[in-house]
Amino acid sequence: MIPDQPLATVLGVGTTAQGELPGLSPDEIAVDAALLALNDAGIDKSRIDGLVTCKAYGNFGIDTDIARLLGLNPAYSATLDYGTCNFSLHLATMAIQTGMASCVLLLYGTAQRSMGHDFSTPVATGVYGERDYGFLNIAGPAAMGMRRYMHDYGLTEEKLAAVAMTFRQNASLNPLAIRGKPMSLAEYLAEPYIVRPMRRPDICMVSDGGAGLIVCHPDLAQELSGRQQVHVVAMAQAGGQRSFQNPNQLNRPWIGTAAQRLRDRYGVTPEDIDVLYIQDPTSLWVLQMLEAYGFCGRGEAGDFIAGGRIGLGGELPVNTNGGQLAESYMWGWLHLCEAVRQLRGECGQRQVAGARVAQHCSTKAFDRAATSVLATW
Amino acid sequence: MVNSAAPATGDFLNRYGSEEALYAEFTARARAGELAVQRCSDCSYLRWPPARACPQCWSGQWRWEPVSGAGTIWSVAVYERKYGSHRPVPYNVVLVELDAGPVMLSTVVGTPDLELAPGQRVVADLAGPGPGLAQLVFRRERP
Repeated sequence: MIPDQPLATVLGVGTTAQGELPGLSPDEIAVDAALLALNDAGIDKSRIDGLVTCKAYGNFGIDTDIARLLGLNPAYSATLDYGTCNFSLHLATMAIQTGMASCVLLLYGTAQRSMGHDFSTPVATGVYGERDYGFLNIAGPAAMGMRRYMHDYGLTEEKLAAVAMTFRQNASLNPLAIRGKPMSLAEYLAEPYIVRPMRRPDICMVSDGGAGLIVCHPDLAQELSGRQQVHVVAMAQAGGQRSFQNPNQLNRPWIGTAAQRLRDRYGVTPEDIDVLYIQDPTSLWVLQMLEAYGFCGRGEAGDFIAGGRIGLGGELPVNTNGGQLAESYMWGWLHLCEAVRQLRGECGQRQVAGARVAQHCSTKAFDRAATSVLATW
Repeated sequence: MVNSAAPATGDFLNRYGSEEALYAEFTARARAGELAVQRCSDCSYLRWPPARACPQCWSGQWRWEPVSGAGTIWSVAVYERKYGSHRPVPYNVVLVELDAGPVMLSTVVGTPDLELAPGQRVVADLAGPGPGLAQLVFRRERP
């Protein structure tokens, strides 16, 4: 059941060009995204009284720096160290719900590709000797989790291919997407391994880009805009920061507690969801989120994704934008922008007919999970 | 070499200057042939990685406890791309569930990477060639 009381309303979204944006700093890219989001919302910047930014590679993305560039003195502002989009959205929604702000601009800009970020670092704290053993990049722990998943549930590489193939197909209908060429099974299997059993198409790209959202109090949204409104109706998080002290950490059974919170607190269940967004630094995330949030049973994701079920026109379209495996690597921000556009019916060839409820599932590496449910009515 | 002056129990605010000192003690003991991890003196939680306070009950009282190096591979990743590591590719990284309880990151030597699999029995070898913690490696148990 979808709650009929919105927590906040998304008034506008903005997405810059993705790929390589040489000559622009991450903060300048974020400002570009702000302009696009403001135009989309159809409001003046004087309405903005809250700013939530997301720390970007190279120590960019700090709210005080970006506010200065934007010429804003917001009543509320904050920077999230890991502002992968759900976390930023949750903070903005809490600021709105508590009255700290009424109209919050959320921004992320990165020039990680142009700046040459090679992601040769451990994804977690490094306290397990990750550097000593060469356990670097998200691909390593993801591959290890995938290998265990294959061992536990018999998933084959041929079945896993459906994730990357589906997202490439979706991306072929998305002008913003970087890997916008469909990929056959044979092409997938011919791709080199990065960290076995993960191949190149299973690992997200490194790209520059920016995205922004304007989220405001539902009453204010009604006053400011007459268009189809997209509301934040439910949100939850879960923690796994104890890392390998948690059982089965790389397959993260603890994410299921976020699904439980959605159900207990808001009454939202998988049956309510028309279109699903899964932040996908690697294809492993897709299997894990489908199971953790109850779209299929434990160990069933390999069969669930077969036969076009998660494709456009399938029973549960996933990452209609192409996700980070095919559109661009933007920490889930583009997933959320796409969800808003889908619920407004603006997605052209890749539009999911009648989509009214979208869910976005994301994580901060293997440490935390977050999910938001958006709805229109 | 084991620092014989190091206390067998500790108070996390005072006994060691840093977490790094705990790692140094772990590797010194490993070099001397002993696999030891910290056991909380209050709640008995056996902890890894090294930390000055118990993550379970926050006690600062603990002692080093020698544990068996026998365990099971939880899973394995084989790096084909070099992400700036000092190790030449391909190389394997494993997560080992020690029979004693703690889960350790490591690597298996003496077996081809592609023959490694979850569920295989391994035993610690405390004389690995790697830097830092990587002097702890594992070998497959002989059948």
